[in-house]
Amino acid sequence: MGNKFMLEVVTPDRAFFKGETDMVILRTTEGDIGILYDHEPLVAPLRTGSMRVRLDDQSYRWAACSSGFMTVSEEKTTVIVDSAEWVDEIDIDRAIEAKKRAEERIHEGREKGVDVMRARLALERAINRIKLREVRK
Amino acid sequence: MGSSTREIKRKIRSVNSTMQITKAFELVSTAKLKRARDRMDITKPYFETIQTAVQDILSADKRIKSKYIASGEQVKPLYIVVTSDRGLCGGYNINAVKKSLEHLKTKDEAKFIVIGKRAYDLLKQHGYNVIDSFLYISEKPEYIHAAQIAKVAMTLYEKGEVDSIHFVYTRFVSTISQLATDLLLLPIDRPEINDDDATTIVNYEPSPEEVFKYIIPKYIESTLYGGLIESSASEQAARRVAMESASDNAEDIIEELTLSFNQARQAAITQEISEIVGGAEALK
Repeated sequence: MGNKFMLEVVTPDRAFFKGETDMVILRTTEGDIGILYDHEPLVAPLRTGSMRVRLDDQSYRWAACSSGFMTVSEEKTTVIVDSAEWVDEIDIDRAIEAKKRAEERIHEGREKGVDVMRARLALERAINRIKLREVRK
Repeated sequence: MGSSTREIKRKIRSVNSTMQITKAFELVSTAKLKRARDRMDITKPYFETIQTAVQDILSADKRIKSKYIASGEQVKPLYIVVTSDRGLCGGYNINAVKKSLEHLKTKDEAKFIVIGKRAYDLLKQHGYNVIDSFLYISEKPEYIHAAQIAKVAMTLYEKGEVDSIHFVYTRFVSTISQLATDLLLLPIDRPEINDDDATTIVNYEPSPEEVFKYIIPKYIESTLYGGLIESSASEQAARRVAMESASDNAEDIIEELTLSFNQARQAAITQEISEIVGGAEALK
């Protein structure tokens, strides 16, 4: 177990996580990145994906995240995302519903003037949730 | 009992029913204020974290050049004004609108995006250039609303139709005091760089420009969202105060009217007695 650092994860509707950990793994637009104690200062955008926080017993706690960004400074690491939920909080029915809806929207796409870009992002989020829920449960 | 006592009685009744309404409004807005404040407490950390993050990035790095950072004079401002859809909340709406017009010299130089029916009506009526409006969201704003507003504003900014974005909302100072505030969203003022502690070199993945392009819209969205939430709390607080003083005022009026009612009644009785006495005297 290495040294611990301060991690703060905030979303618009709640302060998701605030506490100490020795490692967190996040998915940036360039790929997964692990932050350990005393990481050099860094700013990076995040994409829809997962977040892993290492707990005291060396196991990981998984969470699904939407896009956002992270800043690493000397004092603490801050993660700002549009939404985040722990794997056990994921509402699987809602995610499946959202996936279906997004697929339909993409399907009828061009004719009806749907915002395809937005539907794609929604689909990505829904798939991410379903996958995490299934794999990590 | 003459017509004057009846008249006063009618007035008392009317004031009384008005008071019941204002009392009810007061209770409703007290409850809503509680809820709005709870929401504000939840969103505040997010709002503040993003604000500090952007400030930190800007002050830590002098290299970043961007069209989002202040340079030169701004002549085509865009104002995003937050008001309520309903009245009866004291000076809440008018203060916000006045704040947005404070620095305008002519009507044509500025464009407006309004949130709330009050500002929409007021600005339209006076012939201001309202390019978009978001009605019936100000009481319960959601993040998606802020994202929509941000999208409209950013598109205008990207196209060069406006060269600065001002955000006028009402800050929640306390339950009895709210302050209309004009916040410059874009371009961002670069904070004074302190050379002594500018030694930390921050890494940007993949590049500062890319990161910035990504963070700025986020910053705008979240600032708008925070402002919307705060304004909705301010609205309820302003309404509560306005309704409270209306109820107090009604009570004062009723007290006064009751006094003059009693006086009038007493005068009528006295007059009747003296008439009877006078009549009895005359019969002797």
